[in-house]
Amino acid sequence: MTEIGAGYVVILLILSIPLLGGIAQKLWMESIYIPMGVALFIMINTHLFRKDKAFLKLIIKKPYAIYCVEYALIVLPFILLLLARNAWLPIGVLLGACILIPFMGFTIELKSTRTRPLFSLPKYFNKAYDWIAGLRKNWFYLIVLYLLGLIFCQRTEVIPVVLFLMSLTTTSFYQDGEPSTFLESFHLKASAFINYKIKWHLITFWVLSAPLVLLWFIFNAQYWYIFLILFVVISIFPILAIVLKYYSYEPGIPLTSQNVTLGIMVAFLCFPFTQPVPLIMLPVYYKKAITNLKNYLHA
Amino acid sequence: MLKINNLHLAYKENKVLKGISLDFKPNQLIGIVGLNGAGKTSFLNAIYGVAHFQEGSVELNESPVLSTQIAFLETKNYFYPRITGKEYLQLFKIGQPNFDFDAWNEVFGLPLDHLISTYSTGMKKKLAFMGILSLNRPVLILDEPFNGLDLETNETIKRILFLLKDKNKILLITSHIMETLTSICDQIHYLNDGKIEASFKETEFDQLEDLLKGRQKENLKSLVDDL
Repeated sequence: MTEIGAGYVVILLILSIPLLGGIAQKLWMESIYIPMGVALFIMINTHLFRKDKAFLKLIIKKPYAIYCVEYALIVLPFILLLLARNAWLPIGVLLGACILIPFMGFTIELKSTRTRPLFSLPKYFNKAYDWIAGLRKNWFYLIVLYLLGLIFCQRTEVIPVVLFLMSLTTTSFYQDGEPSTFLESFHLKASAFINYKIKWHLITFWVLSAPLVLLWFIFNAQYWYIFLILFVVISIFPILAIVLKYYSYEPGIPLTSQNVTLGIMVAFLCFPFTQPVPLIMLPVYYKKAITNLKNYLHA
Repeated sequence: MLKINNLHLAYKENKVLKGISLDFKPNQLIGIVGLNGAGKTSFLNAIYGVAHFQEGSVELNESPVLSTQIAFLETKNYFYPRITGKEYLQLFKIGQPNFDFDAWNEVFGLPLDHLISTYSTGMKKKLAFMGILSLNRPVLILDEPFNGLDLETNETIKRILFLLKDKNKILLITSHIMETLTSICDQIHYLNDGKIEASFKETEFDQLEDLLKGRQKENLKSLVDDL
């Protein structure tokens, strides 16, 4: 809490209630099986990927009860939601899952056996370690998105959605705290460093997206104003991501605390009535990011 | 000369360094030893500037030291995910275009086109060492540089350190392996509870070993017997 500022968290949570409430209400109205599915997914995902199984086994002979209680707590809000609608079958499924999932005796470890990277990037990317790592992680998804954009370019909504998702994906490139020597290697002052990162990202993103933008204008020139709004909104995503990254930056530490803030800010940007929030917060985060970076950049 | 003057460092209420004053001359290899939690890494972080001390000063040649004058090899080396050794070193090349990484890699033999995540602990250490070496800075701080290294690389790094010493670098090293330190250092400082408790010259290293052995718990045998 102290890392991201307790005050900000409270403000953001208060502001996010109508937003999240709206999404929950939408899901709720669709079907009683959607909350059940979401809860099941969370439970199975948690159990299959958790890394504390060996430790728990070491200190407790049969840790199943612990798992049961944990998963019951996780799904409790969903069960309450379903109770309000007398949805007994999904409740039964969830309770049954709480008891059965702990007996799934295997853990999934996503480890690549590849020693060499699948592809190298041109010299232009030499300083963009975050892009190199991000593209290697998300290349398949990004290529599929790009191809979908090219194939369905005549449909008005496809390319804006593709650009939106591509921009969101590239903002996820800023989740790891690089060693401080990486920062030093730029030989820049804190503000110049952040500005450089933002500028580099925006130029690269829009140059790579230029064919999609061009195609969209060929077929949908009459909706130019939609692109203008989209351009502004999705250009703010990476600015937020970069500023928030260096606001909470510590060398070698995955920056998980900023992900929550970034997620909320991105959600705010997507709705007209909440759009000013990130724009107001951005200068605050920017100033704090520079202060934080001054600890590591002494150029 | 690197001059540490009355360094005090605390994390909130926890006082980690309690007034350390030391001088480090060029052409010297200085060791810092201490038990876990004695404050070694905090001391090195304070010199490097990433831990903010509340009192005291760190000066290089009578001016406040800049982190750009120090090359710091941390105990635990972190590398960005999904990048290769070569891509890691490329970043260092921005500031040091003349450093011949290929020639240096003939010494260390790293598969630079492989992803760093597939490297062993020792290989990562070598890669990080090569990176900081390329910075060519007057002060080198090496926190546990020999961790995870094979015997051959251990000897190679020792030789490199001797050669750097001859180039008038100031070298500070910590290690938990006493034999390594006593075989290369000109002086070793013993850090205990945030203070320099004693300093030993090369001829006095056996006293340091006696001091450390004396601190071992005398009831160890009975504890093991009770298992």
